[in-house]
Amino acid sequence: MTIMHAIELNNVSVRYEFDVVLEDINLTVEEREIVSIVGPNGSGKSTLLKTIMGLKEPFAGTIAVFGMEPEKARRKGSFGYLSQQSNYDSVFPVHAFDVVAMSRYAQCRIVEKLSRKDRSIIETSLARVGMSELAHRSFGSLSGGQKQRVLIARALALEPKILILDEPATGLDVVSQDSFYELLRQLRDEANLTIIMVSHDIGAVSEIVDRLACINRKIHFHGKPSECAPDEMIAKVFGRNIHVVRHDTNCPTCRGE
Amino acid sequence: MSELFAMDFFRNAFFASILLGALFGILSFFVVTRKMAFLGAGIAHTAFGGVALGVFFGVNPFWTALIFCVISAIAITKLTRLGKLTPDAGIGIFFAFSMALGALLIKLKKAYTFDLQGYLFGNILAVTSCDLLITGAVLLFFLPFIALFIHRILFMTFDVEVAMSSGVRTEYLDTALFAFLAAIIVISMKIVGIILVSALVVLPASFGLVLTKNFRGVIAWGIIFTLCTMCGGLVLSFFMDTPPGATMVVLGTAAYGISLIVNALK
Ligand SMILES: Nc1ncnc2c1ncn2[C@@H]1O[C@H](COP(=O)(O)OP(=O)(O)OP(=O)(O)O)[C@@H](O)[C@H]1O
Ligand SMILES: [Mg+2]
Repeated sequence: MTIMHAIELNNVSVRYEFDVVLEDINLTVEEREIVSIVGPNGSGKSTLLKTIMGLKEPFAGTIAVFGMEPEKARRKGSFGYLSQQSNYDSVFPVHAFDVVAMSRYAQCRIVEKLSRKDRSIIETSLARVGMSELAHRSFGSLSGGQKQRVLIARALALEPKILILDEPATGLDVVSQDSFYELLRQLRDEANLTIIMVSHDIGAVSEIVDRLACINRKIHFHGKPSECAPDEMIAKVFGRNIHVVRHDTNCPTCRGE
Repeated sequence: MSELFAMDFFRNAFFASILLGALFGILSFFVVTRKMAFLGAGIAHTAFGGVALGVFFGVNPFWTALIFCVISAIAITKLTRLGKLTPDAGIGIFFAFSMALGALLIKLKKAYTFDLQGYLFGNILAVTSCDLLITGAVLLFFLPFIALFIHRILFMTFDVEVAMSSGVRTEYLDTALFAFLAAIIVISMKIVGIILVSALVVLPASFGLVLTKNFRGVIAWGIIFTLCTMCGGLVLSFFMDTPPGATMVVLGTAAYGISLIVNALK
């Protein structure tokens, strides 16, 4: 028997209309791995995440998630997804709690009812992102960063096997980012989560990720961050003339100290 | 008052108001939060083509309108999901096409004189027991559908991609919701007319949204609002000797306007 990978993509190619945006992607992610996907704007990072979850059909290649078709994995609630979308309807009449509860309802079979366990999962998820106090505020009235935290809590509340995070640090302040990365590490260690996230901040994530995948239509590098010759890599993926801001989490000015 | 209820036609009209009040109070929430107000009005107009088809082929126009509208509603959403068309453009095209088709067919079938007044404002005082039965039956299916799936529909409305990735069967829910939308609109068109239908898909939830920021409250207020405007408008129209449908629209819009003003003064 072969070892079961958390995620396995074989020769996957994806297009929108006639634009091929991902070409011949081979990628495996093991259980309990934290993988960061980096690449310039429009390089296909978000598309890759959607393809893994079966939200976007590839025109070639195969995808397996714990040996299952992505659609089946979705039904079982394997993916906790934080999308990049940020244009939420600001008057949508839900509380932060209701937003997180959506994940629990999504997995109901027929009747939608929150058990005591469901409620405690929702409360724990809110607490993990420090949003317990604002649980009964209207979602639309929260700040951008607070909304992002609630949406992260919603992804956690599904109790997924795989967390798929599209630019999760967007809107989080530096201190929150640190504790967020710490939370990810903790989730991986305690709940055996596999985590894939898109990030533009290579410096910050390199401390917690096991592997980096640099993509720009194709996968240009997939391996341990320490093995990646960073400058050469960045030049190859982003082009020589693009200046990548490297963020140092130990920088006092960034922390507002 | 009691002599009003002694009359069959008034009693039927009153029951119809209650049934439609419950239907639109709930439906409106999804139409407004999904920003489909235009689809609601679009379907009501599309029904015209469906009615004309029935007249042309000599079958009961109610059923042709129902089928035609359900198919159009689903077709429009499928097309917009595929990204080929923006929703308002899609609805605009369907809407114009079926109105024109209807006009064409009715002209071709020369013998038929079309009751425009009835089409615009319906005739709630001519509601038959059969109409009530059909409306009641739809409500009987719609209520359990909403009760079972409301949170998943809410999730899908809020962000469809994450709902899908979390395991919600969005394609089925979407189709079911649109089928209900079309069915409710076609049924109520005959009773209250196209103008009131267009008002009923947007006013209840808009009113609820002025009063509260939570979906449970918005739906509850929407139902209360619709019941009050429809039953109130009916009684009022009787005493003022005005057309019931038009009275309801004016009353509902006035109530919404007052809620806005009161809210602004708070
Ligand atoms: N719905 C769509 N229809 C057509 N083309 C699309 C669609 N979504 C993305 N694309 C195209 O696919 C390519 C990859 O887009 P994608 O969103 O995956 O990039 P990304 O790496 O996530 O970029 P960013 O860093 O800006 O988020 C882009 O060229 C984009 O124009
Ligand atoms: Mg992206």
